[in-house]
Amino acid sequence: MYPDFLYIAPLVFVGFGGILLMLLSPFKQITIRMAAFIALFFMLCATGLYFYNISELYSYYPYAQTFGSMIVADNYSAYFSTILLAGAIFTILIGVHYFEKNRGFTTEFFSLFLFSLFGMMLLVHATELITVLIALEIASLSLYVMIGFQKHLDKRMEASFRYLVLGSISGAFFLLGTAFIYANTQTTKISQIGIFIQNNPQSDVMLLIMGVCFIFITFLFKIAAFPLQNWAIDVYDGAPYPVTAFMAGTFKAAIFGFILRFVLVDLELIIDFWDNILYVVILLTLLYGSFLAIIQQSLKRMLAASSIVHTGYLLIAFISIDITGKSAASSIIFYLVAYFLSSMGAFGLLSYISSDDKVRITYEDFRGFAHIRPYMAAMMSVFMLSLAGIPSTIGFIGKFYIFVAAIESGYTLLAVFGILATFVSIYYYFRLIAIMYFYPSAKMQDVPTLHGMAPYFIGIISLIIIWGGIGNTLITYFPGVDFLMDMARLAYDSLQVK
Amino acid sequence: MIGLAHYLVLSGILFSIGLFGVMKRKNLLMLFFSTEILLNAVNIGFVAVGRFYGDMSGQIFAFFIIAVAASEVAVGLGLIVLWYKRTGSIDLDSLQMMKG
Amino acid sequence: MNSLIVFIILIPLLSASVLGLSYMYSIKIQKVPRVFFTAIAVSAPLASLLLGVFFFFKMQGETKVFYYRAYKWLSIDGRDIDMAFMLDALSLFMVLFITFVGWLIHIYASGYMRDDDGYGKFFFYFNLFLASMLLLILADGPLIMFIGWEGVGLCSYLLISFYFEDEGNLKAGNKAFIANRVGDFGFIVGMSILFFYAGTYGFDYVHLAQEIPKVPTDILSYAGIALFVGAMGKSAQIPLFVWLPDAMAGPTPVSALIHAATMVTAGVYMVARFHFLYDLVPHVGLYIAYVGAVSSLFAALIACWQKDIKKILAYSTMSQLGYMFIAVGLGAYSSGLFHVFTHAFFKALLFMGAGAIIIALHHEQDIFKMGGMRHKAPMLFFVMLIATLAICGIPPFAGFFSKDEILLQAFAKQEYLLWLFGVLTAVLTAYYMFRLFFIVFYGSHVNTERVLHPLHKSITYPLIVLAVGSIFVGFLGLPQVLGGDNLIGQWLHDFAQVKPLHVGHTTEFMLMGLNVLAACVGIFIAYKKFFTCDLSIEHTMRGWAADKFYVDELYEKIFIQPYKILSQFIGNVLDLKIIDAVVMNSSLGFIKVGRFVSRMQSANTNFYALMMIGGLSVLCTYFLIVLE
Repeated sequence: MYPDFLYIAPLVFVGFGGILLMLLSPFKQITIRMAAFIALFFMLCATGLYFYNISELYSYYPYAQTFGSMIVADNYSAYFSTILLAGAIFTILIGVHYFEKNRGFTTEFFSLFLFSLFGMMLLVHATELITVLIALEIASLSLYVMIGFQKHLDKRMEASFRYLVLGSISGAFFLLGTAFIYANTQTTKISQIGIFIQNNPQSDVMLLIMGVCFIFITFLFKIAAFPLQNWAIDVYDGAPYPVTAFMAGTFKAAIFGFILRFVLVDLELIIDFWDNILYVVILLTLLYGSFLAIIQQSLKRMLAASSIVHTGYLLIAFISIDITGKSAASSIIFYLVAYFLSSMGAFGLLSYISSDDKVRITYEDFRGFAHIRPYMAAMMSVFMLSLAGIPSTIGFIGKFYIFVAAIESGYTLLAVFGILATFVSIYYYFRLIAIMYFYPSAKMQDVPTLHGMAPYFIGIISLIIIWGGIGNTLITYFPGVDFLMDMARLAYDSLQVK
Repeated sequence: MIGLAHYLVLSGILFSIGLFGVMKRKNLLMLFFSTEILLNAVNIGFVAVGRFYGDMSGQIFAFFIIAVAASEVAVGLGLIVLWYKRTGSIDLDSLQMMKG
Repeated sequence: MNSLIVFIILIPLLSASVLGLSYMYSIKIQKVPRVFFTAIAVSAPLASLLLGVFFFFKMQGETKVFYYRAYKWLSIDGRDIDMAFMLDALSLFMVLFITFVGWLIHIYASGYMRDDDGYGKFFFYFNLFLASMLLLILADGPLIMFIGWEGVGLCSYLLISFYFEDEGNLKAGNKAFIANRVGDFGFIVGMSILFFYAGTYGFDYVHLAQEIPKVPTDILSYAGIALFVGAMGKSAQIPLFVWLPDAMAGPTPVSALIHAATMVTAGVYMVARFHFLYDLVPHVGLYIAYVGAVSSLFAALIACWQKDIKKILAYSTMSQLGYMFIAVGLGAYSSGLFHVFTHAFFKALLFMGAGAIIIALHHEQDIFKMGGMRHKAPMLFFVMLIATLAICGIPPFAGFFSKDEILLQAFAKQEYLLWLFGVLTAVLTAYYMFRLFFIVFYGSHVNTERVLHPLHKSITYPLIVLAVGSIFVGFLGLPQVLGGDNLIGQWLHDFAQVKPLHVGHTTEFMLMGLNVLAACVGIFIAYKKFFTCDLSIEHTMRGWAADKFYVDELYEKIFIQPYKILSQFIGNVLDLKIIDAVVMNSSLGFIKVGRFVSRMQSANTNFYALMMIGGLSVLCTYFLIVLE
């Protein structure tokens, strides 16, 4: 049974790490830094295991008897888990400084962090709807607590509470949808639902479609698409920076990891049902996010609002999935990587800056920042350029693939709208660059020396972003964008393995 | 004779009550009750469908959902207690600072 | 084994990087001794040359074409474009003489530039140029070739404006760059046409050559003309020649290497490389030949009225390039390339000799202010005499054989008009070259006691080597009628099938005699007019030809002025009044709508739940309607 264990070993590692940290938390000798490194150790081990058979196509149900085929290990789950782990690792590496500097963080935080990561990884491994719900709840519950971890701040409490209430409503929708599907098909396994759809005429799957509609509502909620987007800004704003970064990049990737599997395995035959309504949803998401981002003064709220716009871009690719969904699906996966890197960098940098001097919150606070900290300003500019999708960054490549996928499937108008939203986004992203570089600093504070490793990791992220934009095949045999794209296609193929 | 339809109608009514609650109630505790009602409404549906098909998994799901609901309540109640300690109020309007 | 091809390019590239970095180190931190730059810069072309010689001997064996695929570079629409290189008879031929002449010019430049502050920078550009040129030649497909194509353009620009303190040099650099961009546009268009119509199975020469016969002829004609527009830019043919005379603003070794011996021949090489395309569209070839003929006569006419020694040589380069295009346009690729080869020797020699004269006379470029150099610098007198005789086509110097072959081809293909152009140009060439020669070396100058700047050995030795080359390289292409084997023609025979000519030996001898006669006529006129030229009288040049037929002024009126007016209109009216106004107002509108939208962010959990449920209801209603 050795290979079976190897397939779920990453999950076990992360879960075990969470439990171990929880048990260690009463000991006063364990500092935050040590806890962070313990968490890092387990995550790195888990990441290493995913590279076990990276280039082979595989799809395997580990412990099929015990787990009842509710968990699958394939290229797809490995790819997504690697993204999630990378996001988590970067969050911890960049966030340690923040956690140490700010009051209220204890070692339990890292335990919760690993549990949340465990939930997300389980989410992309799950092939059964109740397992999906449990994974989703493990991830969300840990996040609720992580958001409100600094009990002394009203903002944190408010964000945590709002996310909790609205999240459990969406969870209830998910369950209702699952109940509908269960009532219709007598199963909750993703693969068997697909078989049911194939074998039955369309009149027999009405209830199932309603159920899928409810599940979609949950999906739209979690990624903050139009009618369900209100929470995003408040929660992102209220949460501590590293948690915001984690939610914006990583959690979104996990949600997409599940829904793409669900759609690609099950619903390819009936996928065109919600195209019209999704069309409207995308338009409104893009509009709402753009309008909201434009008027924000606080950078954190601006990034939160712009994450709604990025959801819109992702949905453009999502709607473009059709029977031959390969390019659209892999473009989503790629965009998730691009967005996770850019937002991780931006939020990480903000977290680092704000943990040092607590004054930099709004645009105006960044007046002349480039003259005080030229390297940080340069990195911030890279992240803004990538988020705006300017060529020579990975963000451009991501957007490019998405719009290409949209045009290929005939959604040219949506691609045009996406590009218009990009134009608007240049306003709020470049405003920061302009303020950092072209205005004299209002007050030249004495510049404290930088400490901690966070700046280096942020620098690494910005290098990855540029590498992803231009590196492509500049150097032989060094993985670039093509490698990510090839892996994404492989991941897609592994879904079709029966 | 009480059949599947009756259970599903009950489940639907409960779900609507829950929805109405989350939209209307201003009391934090009541807000939580409403979300619990939502979950339990689904529970009834699952059990009824499972019974109708003669399939045990529907009832097993209900247990999972109860566990999930319990953990949600644990987090939520913790938050409410904290909030009450700090402000002496469990009114939703006191949790309304981040506008715009 | 085949991977050694890469090193032909890689060695100059690496040495360029080392030179660039150490130059930066030199100016920022600590001075690097000049001998360090010299050693690296001069050894790079030598290493490439030795590799070329190595492959020359390899090619005597079974394998005639060497391929090396480094890695996959791009994937467009599922078509892979590899970073791959090809070494065949043609590219080896080019590599050998370019690295050899390039090496000599490097040595020469190490003497010429010895007192310059930008010594390291100069050789950085020089080696970078060499690497780009070799990439252009060794590429296995148009796209890789284009990298080298752009690389040489860039280096040419950098080197023309090498003395960037003078604004005129900057303008000359810009002019060269812009004129080349126009050409590059043509190249890109041609490349795209080929990619779409013939690139299905791969975008390298081998696959293109296989696919091209299936493409309709009119499409091929467009591709051929577009590619030739690229060649016009690089090789300074009408109408894109205007940059070449101005490019003489750069240091003289630059003119010798880039604007005489190597880069400007890239256009000829390109046409020869695409012979599989031009073979199928002979009418385009004829057009090319006529452009070459007209350019050649036109440039020769202008050269007769110039005063600046480097400009005269620049126009003569353009004129000789015209000859080469006559040959390749007529499908006589090996003849054209033979002329490229001999031209590289004697034109590099002319430029380097001119550079030596300029240095010796303390940076004097006006030929009417030189005079009497025969006794002052006998060595220069001899090498310049050899080079001048070579370019005029006096046997047995190099130029005679190649030029004769081209004119023979034109005559044998019954393109008598082209032939006539060629002969007229030959007369003019002899005239203006000996005009230069007589004025510089025999002219009596009032200022005879002027002391010459001493010349370093590194300047004079390459001159001697090239002079020997200019005498003898012609014999490599000795035609059969004179008892030779035409080694170059045989060497290049594999890649382009040239139909045997049906011309009798008598005719051939007659044509040779005619060519020599034409050259002698030119020399005689020059002798009559300038042998005893009194340079104390002011010589002013007037007339159409002296003012370069007002082509620059014409371009200024036709292209540059309307462009300026248009850009002023766009800048002041369209951008400021219309686009800016729209953008500014729309951003205000956006902010207004944004404020309205942000009211939905009421921070009220009940309201958020309401919106969720509202959205859900809309979705459910929609589905119910659709399902019905």
